[in-house]
Amino acid sequence: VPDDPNALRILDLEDDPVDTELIQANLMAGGMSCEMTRVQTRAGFEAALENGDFDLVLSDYSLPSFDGLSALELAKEISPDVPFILVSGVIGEERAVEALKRGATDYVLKQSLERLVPAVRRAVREAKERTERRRAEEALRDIRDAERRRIARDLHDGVLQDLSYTAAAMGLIMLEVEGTKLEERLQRTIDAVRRAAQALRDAVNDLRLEEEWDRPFPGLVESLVQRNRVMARGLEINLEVGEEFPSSSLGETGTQLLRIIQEALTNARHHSRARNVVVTVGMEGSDLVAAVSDDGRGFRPSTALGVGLSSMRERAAAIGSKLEIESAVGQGTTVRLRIPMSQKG
Amino acid sequence: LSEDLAMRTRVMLVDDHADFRHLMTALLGREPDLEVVAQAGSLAEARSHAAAMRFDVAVLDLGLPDGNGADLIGDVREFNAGAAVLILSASLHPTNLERATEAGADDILDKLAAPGEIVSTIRRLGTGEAPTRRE
Repeated sequence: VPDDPNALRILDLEDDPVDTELIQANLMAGGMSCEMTRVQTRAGFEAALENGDFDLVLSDYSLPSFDGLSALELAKEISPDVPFILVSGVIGEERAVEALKRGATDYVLKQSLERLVPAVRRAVREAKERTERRRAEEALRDIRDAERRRIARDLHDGVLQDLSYTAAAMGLIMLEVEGTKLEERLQRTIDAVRRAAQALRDAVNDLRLEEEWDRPFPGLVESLVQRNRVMARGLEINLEVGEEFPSSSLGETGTQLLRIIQEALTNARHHSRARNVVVTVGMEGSDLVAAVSDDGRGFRPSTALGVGLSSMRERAAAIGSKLEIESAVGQGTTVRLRIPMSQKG
Repeated sequence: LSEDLAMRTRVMLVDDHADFRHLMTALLGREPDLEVVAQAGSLAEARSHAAAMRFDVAVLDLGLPDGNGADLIGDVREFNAGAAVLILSASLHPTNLERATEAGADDILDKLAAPGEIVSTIRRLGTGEAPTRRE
């Protein structure tokens, strides 16, 4: 049995070796080949989960030095994808329901072990389906990312280069028509081409943002601020990252947050006439807070109905947050965002 | 500024967009103190120029067909120790900019910058920041 490559690898948290044998005998009688690893302490359970590659966790409810609910919590943390079945004496409906609420896959009474085989079969099958679904989703995401990269590259290498050339070429012609009646018309045309190129560049960088999900957020926001400094000469942009701020990737939340900050910086650059902008990201308790403040001319909130603003709002909603905008004429503008970070920060 | 030949700032242009290069040549050609002495459309071409030519400012695009322009900065400095490097790029993508800054670019300019700004930046880099450039 131990050498069967298809054997289910089971971690059994159980203080009574006889019960483990009984469980194994039951599974084998049901036609399931399995390899049992029995542990009975917290340390043993934790070490086994961290080192072992298990298909399933079976756990007693009460043990001399440990308990099933704490084990469940630990298992959810270390191996969230491995199904967890409580196998215990009578503990009452309430406790069983509580365990299921906290993420146990199933609950089997030691007094009715005949339920064990179908429960294990179902748990293992469902776990396998979840894994397959996740793989399919990952494959799909890879395809989508590759598509985005291709579009970004095509736009960048082709259209953006030609637009930049066009703006520069018209700029050169401009030097020759200065002081003539063509000057103003040409300038307006140049401005439009530049706007188009900038919008295209933003779109390209936006597409490329997807590639950076897994990079640590502080580095990403630093790069983003640096890029804006380059694009906005004469505008002082400062970045403050709070000490408690996670130094890891923020995943999708990070991507959306970067886009919101970018949008706010774009607004500050184009509309605010500000001299100084401060970007802050930090933690307040378990909330992530981010703000972009400028000392520009401000606006009456009721008048600000730009596309940029609604896209910022949409992105904020997508990550479970709400955008706050403080602004008044002559008082500058602050765009603020608070994102509750659940236990999975 | 003196229009003396010896005071000219010699420029190498590296960009795979040939029209853009010609345009830059025309733009810099209007300035008596600036002179385009070499042009390249790829890393390979630029490397051979870097070894053979003397120039004061290298103007580099980042996205070249055979690699990233930032990788040229080392070659430029190896053969033209005093030369300044200006990144003139349309993309301004943070990853690219970081790479260029780390490789030692002296300045970074948006390709959409006004012609006057491009000229004044090259002039500043050519006169200000490379004291050993003239023989």
